[in-house]
Amino acid sequence: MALPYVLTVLLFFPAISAILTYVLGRNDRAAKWIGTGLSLVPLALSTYLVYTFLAAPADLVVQTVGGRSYYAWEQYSWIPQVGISYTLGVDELSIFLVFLTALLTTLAMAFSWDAHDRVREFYAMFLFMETTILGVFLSLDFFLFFIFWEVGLVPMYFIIAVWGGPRKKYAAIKFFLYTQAASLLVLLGIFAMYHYGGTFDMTVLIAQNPLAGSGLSLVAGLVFVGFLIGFGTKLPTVPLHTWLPDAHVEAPTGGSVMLAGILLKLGGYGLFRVNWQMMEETTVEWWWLLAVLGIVSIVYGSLVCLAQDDLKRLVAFSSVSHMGFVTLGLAAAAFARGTAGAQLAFAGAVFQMFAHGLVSPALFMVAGALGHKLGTRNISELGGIAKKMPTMTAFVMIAFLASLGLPGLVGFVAEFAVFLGVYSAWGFALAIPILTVVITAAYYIYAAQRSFFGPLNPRWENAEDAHAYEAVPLAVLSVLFVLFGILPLIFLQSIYAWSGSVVP
Amino acid sequence: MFEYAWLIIVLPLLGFLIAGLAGRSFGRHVGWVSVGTIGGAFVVSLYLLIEVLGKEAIGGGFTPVTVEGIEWVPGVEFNLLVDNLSAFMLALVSLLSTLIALYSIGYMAHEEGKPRYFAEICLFVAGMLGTVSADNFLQLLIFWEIMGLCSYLLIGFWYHKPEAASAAKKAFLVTRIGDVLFLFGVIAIFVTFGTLNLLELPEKIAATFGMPGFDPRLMTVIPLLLFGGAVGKSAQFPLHVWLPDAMEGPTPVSALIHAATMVKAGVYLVARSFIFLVPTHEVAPGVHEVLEPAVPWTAILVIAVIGGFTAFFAATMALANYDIKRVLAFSTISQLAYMFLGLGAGAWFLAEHGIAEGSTVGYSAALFHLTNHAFFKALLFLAAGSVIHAVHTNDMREMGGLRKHMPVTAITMLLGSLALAGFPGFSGFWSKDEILKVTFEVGEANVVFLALYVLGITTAFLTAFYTFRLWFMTFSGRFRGHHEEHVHESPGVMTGPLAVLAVFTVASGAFAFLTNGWSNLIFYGEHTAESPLVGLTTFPGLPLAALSVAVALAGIGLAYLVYHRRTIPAASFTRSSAGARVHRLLLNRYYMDHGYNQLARHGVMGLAAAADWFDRKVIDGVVNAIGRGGLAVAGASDWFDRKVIDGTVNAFSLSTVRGSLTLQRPQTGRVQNYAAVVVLGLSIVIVVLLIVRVVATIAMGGTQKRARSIALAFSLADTVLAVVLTVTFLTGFLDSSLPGSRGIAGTNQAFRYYEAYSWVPTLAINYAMGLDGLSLPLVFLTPLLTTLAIGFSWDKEYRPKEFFALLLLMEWSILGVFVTLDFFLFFVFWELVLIPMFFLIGIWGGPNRQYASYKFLIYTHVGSVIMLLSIFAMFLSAGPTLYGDPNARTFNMVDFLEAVADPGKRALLGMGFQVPVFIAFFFGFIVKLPSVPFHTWLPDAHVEAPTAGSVILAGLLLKMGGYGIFRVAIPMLPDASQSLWWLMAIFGVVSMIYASFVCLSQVDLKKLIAYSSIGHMGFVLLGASSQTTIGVAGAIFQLFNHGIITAALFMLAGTIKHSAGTRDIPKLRGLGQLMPRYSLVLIISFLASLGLPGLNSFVSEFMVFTGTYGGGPYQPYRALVLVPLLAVVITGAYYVWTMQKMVFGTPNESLGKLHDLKRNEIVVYSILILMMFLVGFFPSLWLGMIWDPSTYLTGVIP
Repeated sequence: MALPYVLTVLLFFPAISAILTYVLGRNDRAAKWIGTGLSLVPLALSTYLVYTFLAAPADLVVQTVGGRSYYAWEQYSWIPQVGISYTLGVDELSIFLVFLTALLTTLAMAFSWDAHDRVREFYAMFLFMETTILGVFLSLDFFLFFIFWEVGLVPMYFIIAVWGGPRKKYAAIKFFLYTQAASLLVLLGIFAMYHYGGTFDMTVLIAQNPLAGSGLSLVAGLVFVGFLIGFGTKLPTVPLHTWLPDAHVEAPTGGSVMLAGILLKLGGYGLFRVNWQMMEETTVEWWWLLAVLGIVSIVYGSLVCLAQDDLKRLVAFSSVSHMGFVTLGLAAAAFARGTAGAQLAFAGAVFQMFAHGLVSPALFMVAGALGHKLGTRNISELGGIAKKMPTMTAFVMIAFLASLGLPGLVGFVAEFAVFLGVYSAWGFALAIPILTVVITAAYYIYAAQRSFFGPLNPRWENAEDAHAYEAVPLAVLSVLFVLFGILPLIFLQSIYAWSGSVVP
Repeated sequence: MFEYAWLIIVLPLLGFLIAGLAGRSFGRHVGWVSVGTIGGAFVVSLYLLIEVLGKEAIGGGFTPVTVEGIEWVPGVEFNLLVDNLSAFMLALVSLLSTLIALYSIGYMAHEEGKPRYFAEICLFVAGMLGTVSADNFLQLLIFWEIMGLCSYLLIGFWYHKPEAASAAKKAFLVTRIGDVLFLFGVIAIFVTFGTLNLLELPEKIAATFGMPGFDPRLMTVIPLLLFGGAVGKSAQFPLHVWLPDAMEGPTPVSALIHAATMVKAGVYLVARSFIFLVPTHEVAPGVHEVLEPAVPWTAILVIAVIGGFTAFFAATMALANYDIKRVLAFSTISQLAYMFLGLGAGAWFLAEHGIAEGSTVGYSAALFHLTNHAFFKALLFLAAGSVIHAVHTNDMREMGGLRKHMPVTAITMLLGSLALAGFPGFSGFWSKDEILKVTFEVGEANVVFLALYVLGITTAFLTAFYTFRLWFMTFSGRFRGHHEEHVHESPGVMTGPLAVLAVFTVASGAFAFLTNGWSNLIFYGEHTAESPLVGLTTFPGLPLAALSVAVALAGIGLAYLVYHRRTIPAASFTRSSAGARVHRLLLNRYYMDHGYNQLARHGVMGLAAAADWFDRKVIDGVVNAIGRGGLAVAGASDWFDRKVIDGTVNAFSLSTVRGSLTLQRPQTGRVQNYAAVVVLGLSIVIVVLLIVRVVATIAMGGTQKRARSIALAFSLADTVLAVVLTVTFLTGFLDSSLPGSRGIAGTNQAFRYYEAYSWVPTLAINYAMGLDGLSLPLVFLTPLLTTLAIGFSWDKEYRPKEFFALLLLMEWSILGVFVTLDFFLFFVFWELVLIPMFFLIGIWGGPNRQYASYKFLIYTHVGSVIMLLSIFAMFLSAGPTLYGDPNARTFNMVDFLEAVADPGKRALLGMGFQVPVFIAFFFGFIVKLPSVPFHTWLPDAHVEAPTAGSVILAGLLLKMGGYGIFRVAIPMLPDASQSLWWLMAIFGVVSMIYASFVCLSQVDLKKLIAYSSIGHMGFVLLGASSQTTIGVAGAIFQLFNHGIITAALFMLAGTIKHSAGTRDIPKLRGLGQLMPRYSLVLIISFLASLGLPGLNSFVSEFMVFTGTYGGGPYQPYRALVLVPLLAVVITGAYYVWTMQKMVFGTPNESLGKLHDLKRNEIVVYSILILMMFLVGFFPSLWLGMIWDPSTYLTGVIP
């Protein structure tokens, strides 16, 4: 059974929900229930979509362009004069991110149950953000893509600027300007794509790779680097990352959840969708830049983590480090294109986005909850709180372990695949990223030892443990860590098969 | 065949879940969950072992079986491998674990957190069982890591003890180093051989080895990487440091780690990596031979040397320690090292002698020792736990004489000690001896092994000594601790397992004989039913065995003398300074822990601190410096604008009229004062004066209040007409009742509703009007904005009659500019526009209105005059030239357009004519637009103008400049506009960049918006210069979009001035709380103005950039599009920054209570915001109009 307009409904339902939440949420309680309740609809829709996609993809409207299939396809002329159309569709790359977006929105809203300042605006903002993010993943027209890409900054900006911490203003404007500046390079790249490809239709650009022609290698290189900077800032990759720690530290917990869980993925998505799919040859040529960025992000990010005192800052830098695997995986795939290792690296990098999208929200949830309950997130000021917060500590440990790549949990799967790809591309150079895994373990375990274990700091004698609204989202995520750690093939199967066709 | 084998792992996992999630409901009985599930696993394992043995595993008739599981990642399945080794290990591990779990019930009876403890024990056991039954290296690694996790959790069970927390961390991180090497190895295997499966690998290795492209060094590296994992897990030098500290956990955990799980996994892994150490290939069906060129001799040697060295090294540390568990921990390290020595020597022997009878004896001996050690070490630890349970200390100096209080513990521990010490007949003796024998044997081939043999035999002596030092210090002599009366034997649940283990400790040695030599049960490689593998016979048995017995007895004897009889006091050793130094060295574990700590603290953490510093100061410093640099540039630009540009303008044009300006207030009659300067405008002004009076007095006669209603009615009617006209234009439904159109021959361009009447025939002046897609959006916008401006100014109190009349006059004159198609009329309206604006500023303006109104009038009039020169040039020269007739004079624009569209006629207009005329037109238009540097009239005019005036000024008046460029400059002078594209580009880009920087440093909201208009009009020039349809269409669209947005922005400035009495951005704080509706409108309008996608102006800016990028003239300079794009970032910066300052923060108390939007304002803003969204979402409607003229414009350019 094919639901008509399923993607359009999925895309705009959250925005409508945002308005409903704002209008109907006359008191805080109502706003929370309405907002969270309405967010279940896109979650259900995306679950249906993923399920159908995995079980019976033929039930969705399938459009094949240049040998690639896009599902639940919708295309309507929009600005025909300029050749812009309203094109939506999902494929193996985007569908899991769509699911993740819907899931994390609900969880972030549930986790923010104790919000008390401008609640209906807060909840409406999350729903609005959901639309913008879904828009990026669903759009297959560059113009539409860029609209959602840019508009996505707005709700996040407000979430930081209104509900943020003490330095929220600095962080918010830094976030906005930094990522906006980077987006302009994306825009420039879109112009170039349009100029040489003659269309904004991403599926056609993917099929044609307009910049692959001879004599264009300089242009292609510039466009590639522009896209890379644009998407790399969002990812973020060192050295374009400094907006991230500030944004995270100041953002409210729900905001951090969305920021780390989804917004960073936009960068990775762009790298795959645009840099790789539309300019494959150029990516192959520039593999070294991706590799350097990936390695530096991984190593540098983890070293900086080791020196952090603020748990949230630590988690933020760990995101930098973990997203480095995405870049590195792509680099390996580009370098070893045509081999089984490249396919693994590519699939691993894609899966890393999903894995990190599950793990980092949990990390930010626990960091945020601690800061909220105790008034500080500084490791040096905590100490022994496992005694008072056993449930929270259990979730912290699960999240830490998932993030440090413990086998059996979701993070390991992705890292393992990337490692395989890196090894098959560069052999023993794998030593650098793989040894960083020890540093990753070190900063988490060291942080855990100092903040949760050891004697209880008397200041926290009256600390309270996790509330239900905190425990439930964390439990959901924890279950997913295990589920996708043990049965990654649920999603990885199709990602892997797709990677095989994308990395021929 | 063995599907039920999964139960062995699933049962403890279930135990983990039950104890972990529902453990509390079991109360103190939660331990039985563990015992039950692990015990269940043992029962299944035992059944499995029996079945495997029943299938002739001993005889060699059993082929390994894979039990199907799940596919994990592509190419890797999770299955169970059942062969003789795994079946045996499963039974061994589950048996010991069951006993330890049982013992834990007693040991942990009074502890808190039992559910956690037993859950973790279950998971730990599941991890080990999974490790030893994995059918591939990755699966092995995964369970291996789960075990590592559990050891971390259990060592840190008493997490509130800093030592425990620290020891747990140490265990995790140190073993992690090994794990990563293991992972590396797994990856290398998978990539090299394409499989990780233990059964498939031997064939793959044989098939791959020697193939082109295969690096033979991998054969050495891979087993060493795997061994790296083993070194970490089994605590071998140099990663041994975690194990002695790991006894911070509860004692049963130590027993579990040391005996049944964790450290044994390393040995198991190396045993499994014999695939690489002794690679085989099939020479005939069923017959395997060692693939000799592939044997990694170096790797084997490394394993053996690490083993031999660690055995000795750890034993020395055990000599000096006083902590009963630490001594046992060092002994574990040492004993495990024996196993590695045995595996190394065994691998060498096997590789050298081939797979033949007896050759796997080293391999078997190591695993035999593993088994024996598992029993006696479990026994020793549990007995030590029993002791600690009784005396509450680990320090052997506070024990002594416990034999009489704890007889069962003492005796069982004695049995275990005898086994560990290698006392003849006890289990440890057999297996250790076999290892040493193999080592000795291999020594024939490689002398290194002889040295290792010497180390091994020395270690045997040390082992016997420290074991009995421990036993004697604990159980013999007098009690040296406190509260002897409390010391008592442990409960049955603890001593029971001790007894069971004691039986095994004694019996497992004899097992070797029962199975016809251990090698028959656990072997590597070929197995032949006919000739059972019997190890011992081929070795030089007796003399070596005698030596072993001798050293064991000597060690025990020495311990007896020192610690029981005390004939040799222990202190005598430390009395000499050398002895004391050695003692200190041993007690401090060779200072290795200290060294590692220093390395971690100063090396790694130092590096981390440096990276953090770099991140904060350098990378983020650069980011912040860019931000600060931007502000500095903004400040400089602002200064430059005020002092230099505006200063020059003032010095030039205003000094001449300053005297007269200051004399009187501007009144209607004051016009004559500037008439002297602006000669050409005089006649028009006079006409207008009349009209103003007429409109004001006739149309609005009556009360002042009624004026506004009448004005609104008129403008509304006009708006309705405009809407109808637009709809007709798009759908054509009223076309029949309107005048027809006039097309331009040779193009697709046509003017609809074209009317032309001769007016002043002698001067060829026509009354010509018509509409096309260029003018229609502006014609639509003009009455709309006028209506909104009237609505916004509803409460105007000062002379409303004149005010509204002037607004209507303004509307009329602007419309005239957009619809007329005759140069004369065009210019009349063009000039007419100035008058109402002049009065609006001069009468209803702010404090500096005089200066501003005159500046506006004169400045823009100067522009008009120069434009007029061009019109004359067109009239006098272009007309005759084009038509080849000196009398063919016309003011009709369409005539010119039509003539120029003909290439033949166009050629007549040489560049010498086109360029100067173009420049003059261009100048006239960009003064109006305005473009930097001819913009300084604008900020002043805006700042002083009343809100409605600003709305019209920015929303409509500026558009005239853009309109002129597209109506006149480009299509009538195409060659000039083609070659002068750079002129337009430069003015456009400079306006964009410059204005945005100036905006950054504005404090007056209105001034900021004024400058932002200048920047946004830069897009129009940029689009015009692109000479592409999309760019030109974008520019025309931008005129429309900017009109909507800027109207809202100026209204916002007016509202806040009215409400708060100031427009100073720094004074306005926290408006989000004070004026939420206002803030919402502000935010949306700002976002629209900064070009947020989804709102209207993004579409046009996007098109301008797209067109510029693809534009022909830009071909070589394409990358420079980045420069105007930079303006977009800065625009984003000043808007977001301003918004942040105004909307957020705590309200400024001094502003008092502010009223939010009034009803009329709400209506007006709603319409504008709706327009922003509608146009943003459905731009195609507008583009449908704009597209045709745009294609025409780009088509006319050669």
